[in-house]
Amino acid sequence: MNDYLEIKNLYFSYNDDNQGIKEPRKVIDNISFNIQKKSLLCILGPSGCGKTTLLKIIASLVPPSAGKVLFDGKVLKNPDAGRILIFQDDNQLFPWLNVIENISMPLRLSNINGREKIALDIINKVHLTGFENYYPHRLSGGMKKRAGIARALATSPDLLLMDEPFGSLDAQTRKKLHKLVLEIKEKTDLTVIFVTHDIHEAIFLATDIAVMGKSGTIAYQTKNNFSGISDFSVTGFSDFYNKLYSFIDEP
Amino acid sequence: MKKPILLKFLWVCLFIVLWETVRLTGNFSPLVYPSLLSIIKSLFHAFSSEGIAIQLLLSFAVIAFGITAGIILAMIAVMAAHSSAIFESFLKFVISVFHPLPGIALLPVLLLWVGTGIESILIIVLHSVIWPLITNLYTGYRSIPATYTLVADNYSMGKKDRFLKITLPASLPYFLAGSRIAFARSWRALISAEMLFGAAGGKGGIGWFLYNKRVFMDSSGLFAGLLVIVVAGILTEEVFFTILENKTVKKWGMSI
Ligand SMILES: Nc1ncnc2c1ncn2[C@@H]1O[C@H](COP(=O)(O)OP(=O)(O)OP(=O)(O)O)[C@@H](O)[C@H]1O
Ligand SMILES: [Mg+2]
Repeated sequence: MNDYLEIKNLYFSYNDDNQGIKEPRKVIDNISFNIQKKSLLCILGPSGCGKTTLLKIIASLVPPSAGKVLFDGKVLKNPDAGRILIFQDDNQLFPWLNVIENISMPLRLSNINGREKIALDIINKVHLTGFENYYPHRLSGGMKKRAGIARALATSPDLLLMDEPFGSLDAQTRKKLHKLVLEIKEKTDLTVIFVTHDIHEAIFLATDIAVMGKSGTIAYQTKNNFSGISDFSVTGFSDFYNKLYSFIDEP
Repeated sequence: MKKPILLKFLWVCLFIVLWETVRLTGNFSPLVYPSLLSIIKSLFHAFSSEGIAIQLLLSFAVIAFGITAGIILAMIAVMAAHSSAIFESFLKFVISVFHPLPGIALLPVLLLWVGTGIESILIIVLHSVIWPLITNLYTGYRSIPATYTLVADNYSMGKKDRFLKITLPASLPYFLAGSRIAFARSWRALISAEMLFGAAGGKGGIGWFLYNKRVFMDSSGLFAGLLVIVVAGILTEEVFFTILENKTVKKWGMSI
C-alpha cells in the first residue's frame, strides 16, 4: 500500500537572537515517518519538543531547514487548502465574521460556487445548526472548536493537522468532540495528524501513535491496537499506556 | 434608572432650571447673562438667517478632510515603519516630539510661514490627527495575532485580501480609538484656529461664528454658538463613534 504522507529526514532550526548574533537552535532533528490515507496519527511529546513546529512544516507554513514532505509522492513546498492546520489557540476563527462567514471564507477565496449550501451542510455536520449567525465571541469553547473544524473541512482537505485542539476543554465537551472527529473520519477520506498531551486522548482516537522526544526526534512509533478504548481493565491497555508515558517522560 | 436617555434628559432639565434660577435671583445684565429664551431665539436666528449650519458643515468638512488625509498618511507611515527599522526609529522620534505639541501652538509659526488662509487651518487639523492615528494604527497593526496571518498563509490569501479582510478588521479597535482621539483633538484645535482668523472665503466655520458674536457683543448669540458646538461634539463623539463601535468591534467582542 502506498504511503500517503511521507516525512523524509526533516530538520529545522530557529534562529535565536543572542545579543545581535544569530544562533541556530535545532528543534526538529532528523524526523522521518510515513502515514497511510485515512489514518489518524496522534503525536505525543513533552512541551517544547517541536510538535507545533512539525505541523507548521507539514502544512508548508514554515520551510524545513532540510528534508522533505511528500504527499502522494509529490514534494510539497507551498501551503494549500488541501492541508489545513487547526491552531491551538482560539484565534483561528476571525472574530469579525460570524460562524457561516468564517466557514465560507476559504470557499470565497477559492471562488467556489454554492458556498452557502456547502457551509450549511458542514455546519450541520459539526452540529452547529442554529448558530450560523453567531459571532465567535458568543460561542462556548466547544462550539468554537466545532466551528474551527467546520472551516477546516470547508475546502474538503485531504489532510487535517490538529494542534492540541481540545486542550482547553472540559472532559464532557472533549468526549463529544472526539465523537465528532471519528464521525467525520468515518464519512470522509480525511487523514489526520493530531497533536496532544493527553495519552488517553491519543489512544482513544489514533490508528497510529508517535512520541516525540525532547531533542526533536521521534522516540517511539507504533500502531495503536486500542482505538476507541479508554479502559484500564482491558488486557494490555495499561502496559501500552505506561509504555507511551515512559517515552514522554524520558529523563 | 432603567433608561439612560431619560436620565440624560433629566440632567439637561436640571441644567436649564439652574441657569434660569441663577439668572432670576442674580442681578445680571442680559448682555452678560442672557435668558434661555433669548438664547433659543438666537439659535433659530443663527440657523434661519446666519447660515450657522453651513459654517458647521464647513468646519466638519475641514475635519473630515484632515482625518481622511491623516488616515492615508498614517497607513503609509505604519507600513514604512513596519518594513524599515531605521524609519521606525525616526518615526518614533518625530512622534515623541510632535505628539505632545497642541495644534494651536503651531499657529504663530504657521502665520509666519503659510499665512492666514485655509492652508494653515488644514495643517493644524492634520497635525492634531496624524500623531494619535499613527500611534494607534501601529499598535493595532502590531497587535494582530500571528495566528490570523498563519490562517491567511494556509489559504494562500493574496495581498489585497489580506489587507482588506484581515489587517483592517483585525486592527479596527485601535483604528476607531485613534479616530476618536483624532476627532477630539482636531475639533478643539479647529475651533481655536477659526476663532483666531477664520477660514478663507469669509465663511470662517463655527469658531469664526463665535468670534463674531463676541466682537459684536451678541451674548445670546455667543451662547447659542456654544450650544451648537457642544451638541455637534456630543453627536460625533457620543453618537456617531458609539454607533460605529456598536456595529463593529462591540458586536464582534473585540473592544479594547
Ligand atoms: N517563532 C519561534 N522562534 C524561535 N523559537 C521558537 C519559535 N517557536 C517555537 N520556538 C521554540 O521551538 C521549540 C519547539 O516549539 P514548539 O512550539 O514546536 O513546541 P511544542 O512541542 O508544540 O510545545 P507545546 O507542547 O508546549 O505546544 C521550543 O523550544 C520553542 O521555544
Ligand atoms: Mg505546540
